[in-house]
Amino acid sequence: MAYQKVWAEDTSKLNKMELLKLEKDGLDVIADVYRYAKLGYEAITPDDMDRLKWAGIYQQKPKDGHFMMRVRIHSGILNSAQARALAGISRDYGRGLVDITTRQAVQFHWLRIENMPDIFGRLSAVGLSSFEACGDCPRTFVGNPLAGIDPDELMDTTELVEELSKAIHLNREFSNLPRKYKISLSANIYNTGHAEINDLSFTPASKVIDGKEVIGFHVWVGGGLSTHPYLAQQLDCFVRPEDVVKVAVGVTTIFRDYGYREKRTHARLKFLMADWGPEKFLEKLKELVGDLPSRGTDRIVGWNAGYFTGVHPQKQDGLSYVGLSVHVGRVSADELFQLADLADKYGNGSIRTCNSQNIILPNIPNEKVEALLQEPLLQRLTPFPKVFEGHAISCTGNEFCNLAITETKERMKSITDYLDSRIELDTPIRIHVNGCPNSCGQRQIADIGLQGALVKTANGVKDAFDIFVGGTLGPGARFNVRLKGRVDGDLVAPVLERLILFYKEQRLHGELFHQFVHRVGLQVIQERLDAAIAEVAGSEEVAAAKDK
Amino acid sequence: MFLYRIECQVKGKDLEHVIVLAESDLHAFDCAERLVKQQSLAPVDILETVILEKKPAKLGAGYVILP
Repeated sequence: MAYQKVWAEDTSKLNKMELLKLEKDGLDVIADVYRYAKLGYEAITPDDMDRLKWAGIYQQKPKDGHFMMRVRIHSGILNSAQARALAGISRDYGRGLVDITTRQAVQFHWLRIENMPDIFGRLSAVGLSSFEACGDCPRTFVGNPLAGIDPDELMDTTELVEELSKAIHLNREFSNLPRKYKISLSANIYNTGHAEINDLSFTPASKVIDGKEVIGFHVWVGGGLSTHPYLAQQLDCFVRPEDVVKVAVGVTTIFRDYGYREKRTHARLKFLMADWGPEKFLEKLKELVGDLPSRGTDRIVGWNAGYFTGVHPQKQDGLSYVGLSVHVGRVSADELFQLADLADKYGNGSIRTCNSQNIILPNIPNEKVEALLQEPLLQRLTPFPKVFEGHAISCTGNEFCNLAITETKERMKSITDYLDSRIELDTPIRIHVNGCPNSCGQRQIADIGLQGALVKTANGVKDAFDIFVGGTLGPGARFNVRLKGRVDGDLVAPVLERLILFYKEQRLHGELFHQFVHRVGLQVIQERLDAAIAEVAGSEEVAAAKDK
Repeated sequence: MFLYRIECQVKGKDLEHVIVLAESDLHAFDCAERLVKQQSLAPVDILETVILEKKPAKLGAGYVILP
């Protein structure tokens, strides 16, 4: 039965996109894609161009008829047939590029509208879809890429995530939300799902009920990054696994019916949460789904930032997973074909994508691990990356994105190559880069975040970056903080080198970069940055860095 | 067409915040510097102009300028 669109009773304050969604649901554009594929790019109306997001496609820069497509991959779990289908689409239509996103999805570029029917068909044939990977609807679910094989998970969430997707995705009850809507569900005790930056998250928890310990979840609502970052707040409730779908539907219904639709910039669930607070939100949730037990015991003990590189034992005896580093998340179609072959040859065909933009080959019998490590592909997609290369996150940047101000992926490669060639470190430092304030590169949660700006001086126009330090999620979650002093893109690497060497010299045993920043204080870090900028500006390394 | 958020550093003055509609990044730089120069009776020496953000130009689009 169709629900009542309560916000449609008075349309006078709805933004233009809301009117457009009321006129025609976003999901209805999918049928039109087949028509546009015959008529051509020029036939697409401006309104339908906006609605194409629900089909998972956006116009890429410079809006000349090429599209980006995002494919949903829940918890990052793929099989080799799906990987080959993705690789084939990239090879045949996407100029051989495959980008892994910070939500474990996959993105293609260079697609044309006439390619879409065939691409939709290829995805559907292997059980994948781009539908609702974009738009004002529930996006791909972030989760535990190790689900089912993880020694650090309280339960296997694979089936639960599938069940949740069946209830939420392509369901017209939830295809018209006020804004994008991001769900995370993970039972890994190291917060693989980045719970605090999603609209709705389920994190591992336990509670003694009627004398028995029950494994379940805690619920976090209202997180998000973008230009107004906000950490999700935990509700005072405990959710049994069998109640996850009910609770998710309840939270999503609240967002749909009470979320703000007047301004696009004030529509994410975080704004409603900021207004209501967790107590009122929970009260409304209980009205919809019934009573829930109060909060139990949080079982998250830390944050691994979604990194799994290396060879690690699974919870199944005799099996290992091999985490591969994909520098800034980009592989070629040929490499993805090869990964599918390796997954079949050494494992059971399973491939996992990570929100750290990396890849995991699971279910490798221990006796086959050495042979896998000798495969030529693993020399580039190495399980043992250098420290900076292995912890680098990048958004798409102005190569394809209409909103990005600077290039990002090549810049990040040059920065991390430079740092890896000059600093040996035994602790990870996570560097993220955004090409604009919209945070697809999640720079707010980085140890060191870079945000691009375009600078014009007497010497011409150049990319430059603001530097932010001290971000982390998990216990003690906080966003990083901007330092004063914008840095010429070509000088970022030598400036960071000095900052990181200071950390290396002054850190306590086992102290991570973000912990160090907050122990010594921002003023000290700022003074170091000022000194580094002044020193680098006149040094010979400037020329060396520019040559990189 | 994009709505740009720009900072302009003029010699001897506080940072100027400029919002301009422009077709391209270079066009935005030109527009911003022209606007800054128009604001001053005396000749101005622009040291640096920075594009911080751009968004599609739509009715109602804008920026909140924080101090």
